Amino acid sequence: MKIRKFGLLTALMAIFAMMAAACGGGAQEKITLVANPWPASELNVAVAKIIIEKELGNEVEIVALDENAQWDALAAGDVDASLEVWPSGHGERIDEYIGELATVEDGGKLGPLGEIGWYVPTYVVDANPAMATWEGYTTAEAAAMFASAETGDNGRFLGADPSWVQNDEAIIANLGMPFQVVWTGSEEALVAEVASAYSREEPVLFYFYAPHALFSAYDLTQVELPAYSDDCYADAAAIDCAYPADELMKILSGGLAEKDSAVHSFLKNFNYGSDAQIAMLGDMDGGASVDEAAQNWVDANEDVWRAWLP
Amino acid sequence: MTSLKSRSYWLLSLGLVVLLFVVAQQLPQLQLFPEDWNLGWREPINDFKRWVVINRTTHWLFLLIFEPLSAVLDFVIRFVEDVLLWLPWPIIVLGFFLSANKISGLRLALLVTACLVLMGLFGLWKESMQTLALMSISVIVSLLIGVPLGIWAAQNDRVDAILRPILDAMQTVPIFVYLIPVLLFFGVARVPSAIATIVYALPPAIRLTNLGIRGVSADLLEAADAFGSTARQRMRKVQIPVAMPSILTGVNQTIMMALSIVVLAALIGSGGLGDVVLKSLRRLRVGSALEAGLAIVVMAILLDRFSAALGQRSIQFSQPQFQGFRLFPASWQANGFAQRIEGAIDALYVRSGNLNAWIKSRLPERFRSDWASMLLVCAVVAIPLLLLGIDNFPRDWNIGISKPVDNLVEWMRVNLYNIGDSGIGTGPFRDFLIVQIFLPLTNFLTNVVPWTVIVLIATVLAFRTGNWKLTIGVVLMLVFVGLLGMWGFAMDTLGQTLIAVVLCILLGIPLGIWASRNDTVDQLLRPVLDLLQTIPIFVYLVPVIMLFGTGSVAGLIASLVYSIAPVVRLTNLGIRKVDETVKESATAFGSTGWQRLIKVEVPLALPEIMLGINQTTMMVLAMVIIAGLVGATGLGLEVIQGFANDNLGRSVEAGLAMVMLAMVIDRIAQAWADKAAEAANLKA
Repeated sequence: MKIRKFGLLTALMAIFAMMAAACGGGAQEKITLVANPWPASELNVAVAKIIIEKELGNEVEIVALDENAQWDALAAGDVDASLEVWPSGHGERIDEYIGELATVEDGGKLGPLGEIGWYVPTYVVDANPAMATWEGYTTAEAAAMFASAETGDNGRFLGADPSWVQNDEAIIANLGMPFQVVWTGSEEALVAEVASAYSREEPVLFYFYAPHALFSAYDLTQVELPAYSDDCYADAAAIDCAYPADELMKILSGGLAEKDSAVHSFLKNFNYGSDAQIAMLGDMDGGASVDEAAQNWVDANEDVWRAWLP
Repeated sequence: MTSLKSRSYWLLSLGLVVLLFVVAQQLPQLQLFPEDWNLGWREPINDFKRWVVINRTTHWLFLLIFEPLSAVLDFVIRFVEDVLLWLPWPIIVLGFFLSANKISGLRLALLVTACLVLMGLFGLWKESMQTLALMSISVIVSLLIGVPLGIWAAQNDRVDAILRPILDAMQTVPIFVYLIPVLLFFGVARVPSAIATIVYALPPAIRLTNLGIRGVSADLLEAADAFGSTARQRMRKVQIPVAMPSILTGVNQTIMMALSIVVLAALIGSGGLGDVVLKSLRRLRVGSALEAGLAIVVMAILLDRFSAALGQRSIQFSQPQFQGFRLFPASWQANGFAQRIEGAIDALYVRSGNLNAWIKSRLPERFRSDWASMLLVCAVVAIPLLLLGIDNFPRDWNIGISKPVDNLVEWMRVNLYNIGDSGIGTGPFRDFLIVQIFLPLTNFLTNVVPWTVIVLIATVLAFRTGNWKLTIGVVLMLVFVGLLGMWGFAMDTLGQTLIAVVLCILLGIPLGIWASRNDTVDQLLRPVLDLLQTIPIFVYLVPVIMLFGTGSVAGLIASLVYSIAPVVRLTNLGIRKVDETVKESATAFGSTGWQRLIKVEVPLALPEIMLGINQTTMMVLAMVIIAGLVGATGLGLEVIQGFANDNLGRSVEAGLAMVMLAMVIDRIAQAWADKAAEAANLKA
């Protein structure tokens, strides 16, 4: 009985000590960064973690979180920043959390440009050079080539997660193509479907975006659509041109500036080109772990990241 | 309604259905569910969510209740996780080995060791320990809440009546619906993952405790009362011990349920094995996803056997005596090599027993026990390992299976999709299903059949199988689906569910019958079915898509794989249970094997078969959400869309509709199974 009481007491003391440590406010607050489940996102936060821990002295914890779930966590201050957001997939949340509620801060651009567009495996274009541009997809023969059981006479256009901003239905209708959008439901499903068709060298036309790990595994070609213009996007139903570039952005918790201004300004300055990401992804293909690839980049590019420090 | 003759009841019902069908063509109100009846819950739910987002950091509700709760839970989980990661891996293996040996014996100890080493060999030691920490705490909390609640529900009928629908809802609401609310109330990472796991894993603990205690025979209770025991004594000394097997099944089910959402918990930051599965799938590494999936299965086996052994010990009260260990089948006894190995194991085992006795004799009397001696051994071994800086399983011992698996998947999708362009293969099969079955059926259910006819059919079925109470409940639940604005989506989902269930029955019942006839088949099927149920669905989703393409068919195949087990198991069980004398008399009357099966065995096994079909249907419905992730339409897609588009209201509405659909099907099937059981009893 005595022992049990003693155990309870120590446990209580431990809890109080922990709460005191959490509330007491040491000089450096712990920073929590979000890693979304794709390699580039993990690399960004791994780089930020190395530099913050070394140069600014904060402890950094990385939490793996879904990109949709991260917004509420940022708004509540449970996590401090997410470094690679594709704005096209989060239009409503950007308006609400950053604009209306101001619980999430726009952290500025990350650097790389997301290239959203229509893609086919390169063997499709090799066999049929007309398929390099959208005009090649307006004929009934093209439709028959890409047709599937659920699309009947129309060609099948693979869409991604239906919650992302995708204008393919409008583009197809307005350019007069005999194609039909089939949703694949999620990125994983889209990637699996493409990989499956690719391995049998079947024609497949799909919505996709670069940079992505898929491009290192398969030889893909972007289909040329009419050039993007602001006019063309004035009316969502009348869109008949290519997607605008998706400028990858960072989002910060609304409370971060107050919590730690040094980390806040570092993360706002954090910005590199897609070449940095490509170099690290290549490193990972060579067998390096995420942390090793990030460390290698940090070691080799001190001049780049020095400029981000406050 | 038993007063009506069976045939006339069905004929009358059919007439009503046809009549309504025709009338509805003229009245749009009866054809399509009227849109202006929508309850409009979506906006209030979204407003509430927004209120939480804004007040999360200021309102007392969060500052005084949820945050401290979450801080304590976070501290406990982190502490366990840190300890598991700080300890050198051989110590963890040794600790598990020794305690398993103490609890049950060498067999369990070796199994547990093999499980742990496998996690290490897959290169997933760290992730496994994270998942183990999270799972253990979640399961323990579930039991701490669930068992007392179950006892309470067993003693109080009103509590039971209130709990029942809540538990049903907890098990059928797709976890995607509460991922965001859990995150809003409890923050990110370990705590919300644990809470989501607890919500999902709690019902079996409550249900089976309740069931076990209610099952204690009245005679036993009377006897206890006669001996003058108080209610408390009666509970502790009689009811709980007698109900123990049932409670332990509850523990076991709780563990299985908890492990089945490891991957989904990774969406809100649980980390560990689930995260590995998600990341691997994003990069199309089916092999790595499978490794992590198998690590989850292995952890399920470990926790399952460990908890079962613990439970058995608490029932038996006596230690099994060591009788020499048999590693190999008895038929190998003649083999000199096998004999020598077993002899060595025996010798080693006896020596270590002696060592244990020796250590124990040196310990001060207050601490003299096997457990203390084991702790001491672990500590002594740990010191040099810690000094050497060994903590995690060495990376270069990795013997992953990801390469061959990736190659196999590659081979399958090239070679099985359309074998030799012959029109036979998974691709043409997919096309056939879509064109011939899916499109016509969904079109029929959503566009052709008026909603009132569906309600009428459900009414007719409910009235026939149950009573007026059931009938009213069924009608209310179905109308509620419409009021939520989810009628069309629900019919889409219903169509897919029906196809999947029919396929499960067509495949599962013959398999079950075969297994009931042939012990070898039974032995072979058992582990396969276990594996199908515990391996995370996400793991085989990608190969399924590669073979069958995205869309409803991929969802259907995944449902089939996941949900077929109960039909096979219960058909097998039901037929095996049929009395030998009944079978013999049937043969004596000159029936052939086939006649006996159709006329005697299957009808007598019908209650079990119906139960199996019911469970399978529930599992198919649980898969609807996953089907949404691979491009199937219906309620699953609605839930995910709500999750992705920051529209909690939409998720909740679709989730509630799913609960209603599941409850309607479950209640009717349950009533039907009860009827079948009654009929079978009469026959027997």
